[in-house]
Amino acid sequence: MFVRKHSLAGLLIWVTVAFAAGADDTKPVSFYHDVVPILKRSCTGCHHPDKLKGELDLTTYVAFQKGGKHGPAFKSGKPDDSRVIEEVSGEEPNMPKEGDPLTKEEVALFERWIREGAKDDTPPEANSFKLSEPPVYTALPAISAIEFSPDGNVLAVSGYHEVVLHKPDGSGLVARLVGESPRIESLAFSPDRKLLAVSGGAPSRFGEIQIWNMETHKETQSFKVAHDSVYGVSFSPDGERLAFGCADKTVRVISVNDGKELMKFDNHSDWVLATAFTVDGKRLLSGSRDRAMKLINVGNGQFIDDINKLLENVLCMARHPTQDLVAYGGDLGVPRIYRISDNQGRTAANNDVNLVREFERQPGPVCSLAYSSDGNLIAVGNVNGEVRIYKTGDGSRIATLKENQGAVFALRFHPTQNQLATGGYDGKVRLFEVPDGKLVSAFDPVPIKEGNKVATASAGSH
Amino acid sequence: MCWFSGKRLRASGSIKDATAPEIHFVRDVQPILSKLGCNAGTCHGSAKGKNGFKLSLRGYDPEYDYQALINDLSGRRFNRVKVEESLMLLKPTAEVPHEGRQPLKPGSREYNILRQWIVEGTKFEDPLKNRPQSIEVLPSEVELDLPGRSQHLLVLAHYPDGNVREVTRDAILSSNNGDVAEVKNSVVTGLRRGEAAVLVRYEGCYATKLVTVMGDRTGYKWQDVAEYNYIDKLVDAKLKKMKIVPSELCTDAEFVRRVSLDLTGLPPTPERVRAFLADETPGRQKREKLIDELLASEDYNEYWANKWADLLQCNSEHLGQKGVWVFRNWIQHSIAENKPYDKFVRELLLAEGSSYRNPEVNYYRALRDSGKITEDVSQTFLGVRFNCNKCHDHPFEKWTQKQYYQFGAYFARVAIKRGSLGKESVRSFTGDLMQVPGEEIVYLKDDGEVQYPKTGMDVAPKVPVGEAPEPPKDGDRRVAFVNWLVSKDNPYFAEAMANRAWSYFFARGIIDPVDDIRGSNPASNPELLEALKEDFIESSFNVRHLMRNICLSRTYQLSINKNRWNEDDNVNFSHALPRRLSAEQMLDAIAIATGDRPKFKGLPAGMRPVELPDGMVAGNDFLSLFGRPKRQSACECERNSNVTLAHALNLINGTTISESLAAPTNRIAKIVEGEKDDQKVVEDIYLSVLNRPPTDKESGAVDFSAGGSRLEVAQDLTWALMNSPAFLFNR
Repeated sequence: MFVRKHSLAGLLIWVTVAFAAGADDTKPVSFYHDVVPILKRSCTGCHHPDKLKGELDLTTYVAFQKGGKHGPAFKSGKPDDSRVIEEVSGEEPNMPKEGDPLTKEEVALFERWIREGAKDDTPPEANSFKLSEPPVYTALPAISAIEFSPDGNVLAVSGYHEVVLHKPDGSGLVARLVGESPRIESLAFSPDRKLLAVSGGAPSRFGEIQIWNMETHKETQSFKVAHDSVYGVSFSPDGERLAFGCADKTVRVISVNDGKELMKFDNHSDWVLATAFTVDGKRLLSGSRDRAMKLINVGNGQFIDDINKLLENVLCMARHPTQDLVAYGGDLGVPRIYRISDNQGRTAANNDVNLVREFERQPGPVCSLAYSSDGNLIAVGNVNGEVRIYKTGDGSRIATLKENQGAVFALRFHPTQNQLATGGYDGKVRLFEVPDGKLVSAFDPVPIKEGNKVATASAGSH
Repeated sequence: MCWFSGKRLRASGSIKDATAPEIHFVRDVQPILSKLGCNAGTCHGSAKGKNGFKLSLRGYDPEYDYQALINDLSGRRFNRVKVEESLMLLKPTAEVPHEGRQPLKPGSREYNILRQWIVEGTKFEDPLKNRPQSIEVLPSEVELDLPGRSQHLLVLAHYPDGNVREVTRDAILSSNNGDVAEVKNSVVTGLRRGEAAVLVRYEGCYATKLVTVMGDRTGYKWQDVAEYNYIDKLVDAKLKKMKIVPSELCTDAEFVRRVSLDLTGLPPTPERVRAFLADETPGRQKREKLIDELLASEDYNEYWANKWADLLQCNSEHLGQKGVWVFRNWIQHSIAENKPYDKFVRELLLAEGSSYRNPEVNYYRALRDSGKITEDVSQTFLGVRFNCNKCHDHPFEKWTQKQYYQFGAYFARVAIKRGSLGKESVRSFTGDLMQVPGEEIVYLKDDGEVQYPKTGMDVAPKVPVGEAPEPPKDGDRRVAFVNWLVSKDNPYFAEAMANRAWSYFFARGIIDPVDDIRGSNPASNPELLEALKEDFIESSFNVRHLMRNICLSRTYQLSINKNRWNEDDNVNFSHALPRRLSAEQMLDAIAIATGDRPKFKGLPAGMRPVELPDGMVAGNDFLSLFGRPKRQSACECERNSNVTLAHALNLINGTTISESLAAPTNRIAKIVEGEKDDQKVVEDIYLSVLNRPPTDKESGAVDFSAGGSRLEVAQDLTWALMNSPAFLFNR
């Protein structure tokens, strides 16, 4: 029918791949080309670094060789003594636990590969995400993070594999900070303005914290953390520690200098997407899709209390610039401000004692939120493309910005000027005047290679 | 409900091939997520999703799924810059670890559609226009003449703009009876003679295709039999179609036992059996006369009051002692006056006031909140189960989650407060004493709304099918609901009751289970159900009229003995099906068989168990063992009618039977004392226990001189007969 053209193309590719795999008996078996595809299809779903069934990781050669709790997975040259063959062969093989067993041909392929010496022919670049050249764009990437430097001289915007630094009015590109992580999730400037911390990673592969020197625009540190992209990075007030949230439900604090893990908190029951230190830096607040904002003693990693009643998934959080107040937004779309304090006054009748203010329901989940530098305003972005600006004092709405096309994943107030920068699904940065909400400018944060542009929703909208 | 309503993506069109069709999320992507199983209940469609990624169950909510793929976690799952690196392509192809293995093959049609969708800018378009309205399955009838034969099915989707697409490869097909027919890749294959339904679903549309596997019927010939009323005509039409020959009529003795148990819950007394057998009126008139006698009896009222007390959850845990008595009495009076069913339901659902003075309010006391009201009212009076769509759209039906809350909104203002008359203590099922409120007042609050959990917003009341006038702002919302509910035009109300009533006489409904009416649970004889429903409506919802016509039919009066042509039929009513006596029937049968009524705590002497007002009968092991429901559920399935070893052991060794057998003043003792003719004693015992005279062979088999006293022999005979299937089953 209407997709026939594509299916035919797909069929050809598929046939080619099928012929390529293990068709040639005369050539030695390739780990990378023949074995890995089978491991991916049937094994790595359970045997990967975040799951480790049987303490076994099958996502790399080294891990495969090391084996799991029963010892090495194979003995080079000796398929009969290799655990992996024992597990996957026979009438009713142990593995894979679910799904179709390996075919006889596939088992034979494994055996032959071991007999031939179980060599690793993975190309060195296969597991690397490092780029030799800055990325070339044919479409605007969605913007997931925006941050003004504390002095207001630089606007940092997430790209693909990089953070791009712009002049704050969008009049020029200052630098491209190209790093290993394809996804950039969050940005934070150090209190002394000298460093930019970047959290990101590659989903289901690795997480990374990058530290960039803002004078030289060079990456000074890269710390690989967790096995998925990491979220919501924040600096401690003394600038020595970084906190961030992980898909493995942990909150972690590392040292800026050497990346040493200072604290790992695992009391959440879902992904942690946001963190914020208290004004004194002694306590840390983490917000998660488990609906809780948890207060943690940074010194000993002890859980103090949930500061909020569990009403909706915490998708974004912003701490008041000078006080221990936090605003959060979630999937049900009602932004709220809480006092960052434990719940000592809690009673059966009132278990939401820290609630300071509740704003009107937004038309959809809230995916970004920011305080103005004087704490008098908050801006709230939702998935439906709207940004609303409210007075924190009385909760009244003072502006509604409808220019974004698609979800607004990131927004920040300029620290000194009355401006708000937004970005999101459509990939454009927009600058608005505050408080009237007038659009000042809109620009592409990354250079688009002309002539070869693909269709994106940035030209249209929804 | 929808964040996207009124908004739409527009394509930039800059590289769009003039002939390349655009990929639309709702029309093209969503079906693939369903077909690959991404949104299945065991995977990302589960309540909590999987590994941080959640889709709506089987794709009932396209907006939610679009959000999950595109907007969740700042666009984590798509990558416009490097499309092949989009997580939504890397995961299902297992390029990165994926616990769900590899449902998507790189380069496959499905892969290319997903990929192209991202390339074109992840468009989302109006679900109202791009979801099909209905699906159609071809061919219109599937009749396979022999097992092993196959038929390709074709699935067509009809869209609101009039377009029709062939969607067979993305539709999901399954058989409801895997022994009769299986479906693979849209080919249905017969496995053995019988009937099955192929359930087809595609994008929130459902269709059911009946499949008949005829099998070898060489030598089959239909023989005309008398048709007593419209029921026989429609049953026979189906039997002819399936090449079935119905059984013979049951005997008069079988009939008198069967119809007495079915209409009154009591086996006939020996006197009634004797009189019925001796009556020389021609069979059909004689049976009609008996049916009318039973329908007019007080036993009928008691028996059906018990049935409705089950369905309306008359138990003291919620209602208190006085509550169960007044409520049950109200039910029994309603049945005694043959209150039209629509009126009965209307009074129940519009009830207000004191639980002591207005007994019908006790139904709301048993249900208590708008959620349980929604679920139980729909199941009881519409035969439709609404509990699935509390949390998500119904996975096999058209019912949506929103409808659940719209339904509940009619009852949002029903409230209960304490009356002035004190507390009661009742004994719970476990025997513990517990406090329940005494008098309670059911009243209507001035405000109160039901919130739709997806948005947290109030929902306005709305009926799930058809239309009802908007309820007044300040009045009783329930009036609009009840007018709709009991209307003759309501497609479910009369049908559900007709089907339910039928099941009480045939061991199964025409749709079965009777309280699970849905497209994917088709009627075995839709024309019959329709005719019963029409008859019921035309009689102005006269339940006795309906039951009378059922009992008068020749179909009801068929034997349980099968013939060569109906031995494998269990769904077309070509013969009677034996049914184990219910707990209450069992106790009544023991009382009649022995002449001694078993005594229980909580059961006053001489009281029939169907007169017990309370589902919570502490310490009554016999009734609970034999499946008397606790009355905590609207489901017919709460009453258990299975047969297990525990039942057999209780009947062989249990004190209930042995004490009644040994009671010094029981019927057995009296007959042995008063009747010197051994054969007469045997006859009396047969008539009391099995409700028929013994055959000559049976009479001759009893030897009173074999040892023990005459009384012991008589007791042993009674005991033996009471442990035979002829006693334990209604046949």
